[in-house]
Amino acid sequence: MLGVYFLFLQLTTLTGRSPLTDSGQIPVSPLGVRGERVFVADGINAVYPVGKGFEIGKVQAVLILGSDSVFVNSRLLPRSAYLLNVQEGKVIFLVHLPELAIVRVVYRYISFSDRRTMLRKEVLRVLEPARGETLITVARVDTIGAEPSGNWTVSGSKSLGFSAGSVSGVGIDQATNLILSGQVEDVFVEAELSDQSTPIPPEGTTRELEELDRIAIAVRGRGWQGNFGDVELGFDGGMFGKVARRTVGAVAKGSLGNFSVTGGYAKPRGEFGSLLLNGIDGVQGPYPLAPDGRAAEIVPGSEKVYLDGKLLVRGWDADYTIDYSTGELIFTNRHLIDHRSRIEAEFQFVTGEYERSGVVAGIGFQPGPFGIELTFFQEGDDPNRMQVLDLSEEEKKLLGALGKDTSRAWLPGGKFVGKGKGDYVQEEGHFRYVGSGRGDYQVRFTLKGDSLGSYVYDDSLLAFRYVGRNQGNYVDSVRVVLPKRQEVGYGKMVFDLGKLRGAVEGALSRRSANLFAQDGASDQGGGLNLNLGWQDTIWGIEYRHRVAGTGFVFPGAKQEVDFSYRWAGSHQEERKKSDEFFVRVAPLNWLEFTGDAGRMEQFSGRELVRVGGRGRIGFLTLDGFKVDNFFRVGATVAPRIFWLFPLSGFVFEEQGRERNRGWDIGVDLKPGERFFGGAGFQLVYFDEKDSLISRWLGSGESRMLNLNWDWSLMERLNLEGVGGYQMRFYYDSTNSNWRRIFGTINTVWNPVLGVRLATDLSQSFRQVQLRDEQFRYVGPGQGQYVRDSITGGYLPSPDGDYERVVVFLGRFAAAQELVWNGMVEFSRYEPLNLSLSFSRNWTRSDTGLLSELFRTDLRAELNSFVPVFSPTAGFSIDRSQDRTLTFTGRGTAHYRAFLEMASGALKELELQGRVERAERTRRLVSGEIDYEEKGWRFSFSPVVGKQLRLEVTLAYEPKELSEPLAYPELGRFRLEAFEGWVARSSSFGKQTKLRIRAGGTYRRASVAVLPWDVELNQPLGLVPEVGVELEQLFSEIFSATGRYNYTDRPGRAAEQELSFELRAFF
Amino acid sequence: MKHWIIALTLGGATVITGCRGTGKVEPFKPDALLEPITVKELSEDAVAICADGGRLLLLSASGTRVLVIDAGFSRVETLPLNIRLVPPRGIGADRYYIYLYDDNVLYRLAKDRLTIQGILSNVRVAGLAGYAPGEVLVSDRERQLVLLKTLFGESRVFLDKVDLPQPGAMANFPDGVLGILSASDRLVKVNRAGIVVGMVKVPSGVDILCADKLGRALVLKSGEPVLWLDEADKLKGYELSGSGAPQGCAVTGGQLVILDKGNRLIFYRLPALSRLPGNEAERENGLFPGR
Repeated sequence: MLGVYFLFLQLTTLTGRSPLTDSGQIPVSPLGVRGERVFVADGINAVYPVGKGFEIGKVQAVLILGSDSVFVNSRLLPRSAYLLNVQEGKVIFLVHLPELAIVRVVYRYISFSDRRTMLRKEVLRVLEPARGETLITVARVDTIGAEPSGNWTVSGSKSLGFSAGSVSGVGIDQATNLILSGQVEDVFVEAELSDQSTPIPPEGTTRELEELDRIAIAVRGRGWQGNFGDVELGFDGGMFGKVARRTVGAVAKGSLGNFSVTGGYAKPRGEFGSLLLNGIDGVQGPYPLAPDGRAAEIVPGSEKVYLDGKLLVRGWDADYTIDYSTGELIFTNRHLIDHRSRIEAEFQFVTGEYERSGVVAGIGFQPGPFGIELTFFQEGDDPNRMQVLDLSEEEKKLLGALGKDTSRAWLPGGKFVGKGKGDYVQEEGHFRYVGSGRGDYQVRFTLKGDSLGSYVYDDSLLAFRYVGRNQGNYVDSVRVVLPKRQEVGYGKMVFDLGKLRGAVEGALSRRSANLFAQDGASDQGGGLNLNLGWQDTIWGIEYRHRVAGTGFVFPGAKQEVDFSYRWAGSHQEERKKSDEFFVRVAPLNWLEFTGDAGRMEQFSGRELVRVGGRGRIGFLTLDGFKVDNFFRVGATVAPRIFWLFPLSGFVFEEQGRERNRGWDIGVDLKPGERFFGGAGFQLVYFDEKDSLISRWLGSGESRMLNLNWDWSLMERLNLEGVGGYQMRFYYDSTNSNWRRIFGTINTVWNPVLGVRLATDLSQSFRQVQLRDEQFRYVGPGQGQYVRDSITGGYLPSPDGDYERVVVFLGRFAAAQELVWNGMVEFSRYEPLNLSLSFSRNWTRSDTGLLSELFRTDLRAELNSFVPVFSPTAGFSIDRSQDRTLTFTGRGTAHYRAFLEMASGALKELELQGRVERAERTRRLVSGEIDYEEKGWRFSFSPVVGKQLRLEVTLAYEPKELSEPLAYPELGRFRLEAFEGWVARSSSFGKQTKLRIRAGGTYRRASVAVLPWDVELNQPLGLVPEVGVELEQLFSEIFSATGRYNYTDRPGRAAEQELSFELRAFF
Repeated sequence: MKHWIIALTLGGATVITGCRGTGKVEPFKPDALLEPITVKELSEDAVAICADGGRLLLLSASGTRVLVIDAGFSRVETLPLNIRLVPPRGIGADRYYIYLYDDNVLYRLAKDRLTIQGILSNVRVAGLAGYAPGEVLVSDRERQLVLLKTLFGESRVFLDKVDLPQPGAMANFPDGVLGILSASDRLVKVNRAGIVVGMVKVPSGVDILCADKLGRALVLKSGEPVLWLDEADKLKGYELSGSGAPQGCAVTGGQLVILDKGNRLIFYRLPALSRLPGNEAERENGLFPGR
């Protein structure tokens, strides 16, 4: 009988079928035990305890999913309005319950009579986007935490540190973490403050709260709530779009009866940007999310990417990946990109030119079925608070005079620094590089684009070279980003009478492009939207009217995705007026028709008329539309034959002088939960209309075969992947034909318990953006690099004069990316544990390797003789190459093998010995060896005495080194190190701990003087070191730490460092 | 180089071959049975589990995503990673970050920004525990150290092998006490100053550790369905009914959650405190916080 219960449980869980009848009553059922709980709502709380039946701890019971019903004042509540928390025995209401409302919770549960019986499994499944299940949520984890309790709780830590050193000088550091939650009468408060490692200058500091690393304060009362810290500032602009900014600031919302009010002030982390482009044939990326098309830093998680009108999911094994530091977007093999792919993206990119702020204020009134909203939003730069450039008043006036012509906002890049103090001299109206410290000028150059500048960056000179007007890509000027501001006032009136719904929206906008100008170089405009519709389960009709004035700009994401495709390549900003009608008829489950007709007038005077429709008759779907010179028609047949899902389709698209005809044929197999597979073939012909004979001529064709599968066999083997073969033929000789194999294969095999093998193989085609690596003079001691006067190269130095700048050129080279990862693991195979992992990643262009990463790690542990004897052996390779950067690009290889022996056989002596062999090589991009090291390390480090616990370390490290490029005269030389250490920790009671470590290293070499970089870390001679650390715990809250370190290197003054730190945990 | 590799491999193989057939004696036997409350099967394999407030976090076996299971255990959300962890090994979380590690690198994923960054490389992580929000303790199996990784990336030695040998899995206990499995055969408890305040001998080979709100340690050995519960320095064994091969554990909502065979979560009621009878014990266990 119990098995029947479980079967029902499984069915209701998997199908989501409710056991409720249409009348909302619980049907008479023999399943489980009926439980009921009645209580009275207090009008404030949303969480109420539910009693017996959930007390699984007592009665070993489980709720029959789908059996629950909640009635409020005898009215059945939809399941979306509450959550039943089985584990905690609570019901959480997502809607407001009126005071004194009578709530009845009814449910059924099963108790277990046989304690040894295992439950059937409840499937907790992640939706797979690859199968068309696009409901995966990219979670933004709520850091506010759980419901605050009625009592105040304060937790966190505070530390204050003081350090003084003979080399590092004096410093004070502090860090704060504070978490506060509680309730004052009816107000819930949760607050979080974090401020880490902020150096405090000797004169003290007063910092505004907004400067803290992290603030999150949430205050919630009856009918109102406020959030302070990391908040989302914006508003829903209905049919105009949505404004949503990730900001640091404050937002408050309140409601009283039918009235609601919202307000907020914040500093956005970036500026809103959007992108609309077509893909490139066979190129998965990168498609830079950047206003200049090259690179921009993106606010993490702020992007929304659409492909052919569908929202995509970020992730290595999902739809795309993005490098937030450069904005480079790369699609995975799950979506193959060609020139017909429509890529749309909205994002926030980081701007640091000016301090930026945003304000939102809104009121709302909802009497019955009507609703009225008014919102004001402003976002802009503060022209008086520049963060990058320091412009003089004269320069601001000059820039202000440009008005709206922002393309001329440039300032001279050359700065006279005095005779013999610069790198450049001025001659004949341009600058010439004469060497570091030999010229009169320091000059800043800006990339403008190919054949738009007068200079190029010379890789041999490591400086800019004048090549003639419009012959290069850099100019000797600095581009000034002008301060700007946007304001919008938005109003909405809606009504909802069930089947009849309507809305009227209006917005006024002002955009100031140059706040240095007296009038701000502003454009104003307005827009009006009207929606009116009627619908029931069979019929639906809707009318949409849009009108916008010149200069109207909505400062956020547009509401209509794929607008450009629907309107034959038009942009939303071009629309002056449009009228559209939509009709829907769905008389039967298998029969549905939709149709639309519209007209759009553009500011340019162009008029577009659109007519389209879509019909579904059983497994046949037809669609088509015509707009201006664009025409599309398509048909798909997708029947279901048991577990076979064949599909066949045709699409025809024509626009102007180009057209394409495509056929799709494929089949999906879903014979069970454990297997999914599919194969498809796509053939597309491309035609162009000949201008002379006015006939369609074939211009090319593409063919693509793709396979995808996901197969699990008895929890032992899992095969998953996508792959295929892609061909592109051009009938003329202007382009080269290409064929490619793409794919991603993931395999996991668990042949027996404790043995696991996994491998992934992926090949994709993408591009690599070309970059210039420059070293820019920033002043003495202000940079991270120094220039080597002999070689002309740049060396890293904390007190350097140059900073390294990587400029993305906006030019791309085709590349092939191959990734191969694998893992072999033998665990629980007594007495041996073995694990092997490897990862290899290549990126290649036509001319050779661009970058490579290879890592492998093998480790074997033998625990058979534990504790007498336990050996561990390991071997690892780390190899990487980066050939995309000329100077700092390096190839490194590091091989390491070790054997370690440990023994705990002797009570008073824990033995440990280790032998290690290591080889390290560093090569330049040209292939020449820059650094080479090969050596051994023998160490023996026993811990003496069970009570004494004195660690003694003895080590010998012989190795051979060479730096053939920088120090050819040294050749290969030998460096030996002898180390000896003793260390001990002592505890005095449970509150004081003292750790002492003392020892030294003696090094000798076969050469008299070591290379500079080797000498820095491994000086010759004896280097004694002592470290003392005292930790004192005053209580569970306060602790203090004191540290003292002493090092004496030959040829330098002895280094001493003392530091104290006080910490409080509360 | 290759000669040395061959020599080491041969040396290792010789040692391994000579050790076959040796056995090990467990000092304890389980003396009670723990029944499951419910079982949830995962459609995607996971390699590690941790609790994050009321949620459970799982690191997928593909190393490309973190699965977030809500407090009601009804919904799974996905945090996609921009990189792939090869091989994925473990997961931990505090108020600000989710920590992930593979064989060589420890990463942290900012909860509110979803950006992942490597914070410690060339490390063989054996366990993670929180020290303060944004600060994590990392036990490094190879160097035999427990490192304190501060928010801005500074690494400090918290415990070294003089304090305890071969640190492994770690867990946070109430009142700032930290539990560490040492040499796979003892559970060492240290306070915030790194002073050892307690030690319990546990069965050899245990490598999974978690703690409940009452400060009891729950210890397991990978692949063996036996739970060892340390209560007031007394160890009691429970057989985990229905579990085949535990891979990780977490305590949330008063329940013990076992990641079993990588593809299912088994929920167990925590054993009652032995000093309190019946209902009182269950309340103490935090099973019914609403009452």
